[in-house]
Amino acid sequence: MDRELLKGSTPLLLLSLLCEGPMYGYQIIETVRQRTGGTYTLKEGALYPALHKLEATEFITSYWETQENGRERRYYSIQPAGQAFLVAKKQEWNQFVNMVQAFVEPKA
Amino acid sequence: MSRALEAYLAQVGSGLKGLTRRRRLTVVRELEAHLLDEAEARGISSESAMAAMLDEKEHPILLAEEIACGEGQDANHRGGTALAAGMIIGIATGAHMWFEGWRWYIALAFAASQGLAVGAGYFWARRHWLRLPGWGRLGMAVLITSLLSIPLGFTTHHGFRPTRLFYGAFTGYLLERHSQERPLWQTLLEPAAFTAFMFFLETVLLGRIHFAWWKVPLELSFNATILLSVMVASRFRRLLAERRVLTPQEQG
Repeated sequence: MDRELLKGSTPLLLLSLLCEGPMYGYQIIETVRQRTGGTYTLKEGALYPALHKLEATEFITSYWETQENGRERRYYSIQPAGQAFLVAKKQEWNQFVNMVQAFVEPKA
Repeated sequence: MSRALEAYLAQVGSGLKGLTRRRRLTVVRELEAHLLDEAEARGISSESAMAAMLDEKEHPILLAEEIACGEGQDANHRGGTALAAGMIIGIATGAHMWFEGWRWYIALAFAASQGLAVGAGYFWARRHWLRLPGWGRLGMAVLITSLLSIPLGFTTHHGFRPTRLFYGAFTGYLLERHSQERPLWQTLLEPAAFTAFMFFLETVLLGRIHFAWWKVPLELSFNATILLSVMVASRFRRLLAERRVLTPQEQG
C-alpha cells in the first residue's frame, strides 16, 4: 500500500483502536496487522512517536501494569478529548471518502 | 535478559539524543516490554532466535532518531501551548482589573500570577492526573491551582490576602470542567454562584467589605472574564493539539 496515502492517518487509526479499550504497543501492531490482512504493518518507529504525540496532546494517557509473569506493559487509553476529536474527524473522513469515491468510481 | 536484546536497547538508548535521563529510561523500558511481548507471542526463547527477530527490526539508531525527533516536538508543544493558553487567562484578567481602576502594577502582577502560575501551571501539570476519575481530576485541579495561586494573594495594596486564592481555585475548577463540552446553563451559573460565594465570604464571614449593589456587576463581570478566558484558552489549546496530531511526523 502506498505509504503516502496513509500519512497523517496513523493518529486517527490509533484513536479508533483505543476507543475499543486500553492497549499496549505490541497489541496495537498485531491488531492493525490482523485487521488489514497484513497489508499494513506499523513499525515501532512509527507507532511510538505517534502514541507519544497523542499523549502530549492529552488525547490519550498511559499507565504501566504488571502482568502475572512479573513483566510490565505500558497501556494506552483514550481520553474524552481524544474521543471528541475522533468523532469530528470520522465525519470529515467519511465526507472525504465519499468525495473521492465520486471521482474514482462514479455512479452511472 | 537476552544479550542481543540488551545490545539493541543499549544502542537505542545511546541514540535518544536530547531526552532527559528519566524520559530515555521510560522509552527504553517501553521498547523492552514491546520486544519481550513480541518474542513471547512468537515463541522465541533462544538467543539466536532473538537475534534473528531483532535483525528484522529497524536499525536501533534509526529507531532512536525517529523517537527522539518526535519527543522534542512533543515537549515544545506541551510547554508552548501551556504558556500561550495560560497567558490568555492572565492577560484577560489583568486587563479587566486595569479597566476596573486598579493600579497598573497590581493588574500586571495579577496577570503574571494568574497566567504564568495558575494557567500555565495547570496546563503543564494536568497530564499527571488525567487517569483519575472525573471528581478526582476536579479535586486535583482545584488543589493544585489553589497552591499555584499563592502569588495572587500578594496582588493587593494590603499585603497577603488569602481570599485571592479562591480566584485561582475557581480558575482551576473552570479549566477542568471546560476540558469537555458542558451544558450552557452550568456555564452561565458558575460565575454567578462564585460571585455570590465571594460576597458571602467577604461580607458575612470575614466582614472585610461592606456589601453594596454597585459592587455586584464589577465582581460578576470579573468572574465572567475568568470564565471566558478559560473557555478561549481551552479552545485555543485544543485547536493547537488537533493541528499537532494531524501534522505528519517530521524527521530531524
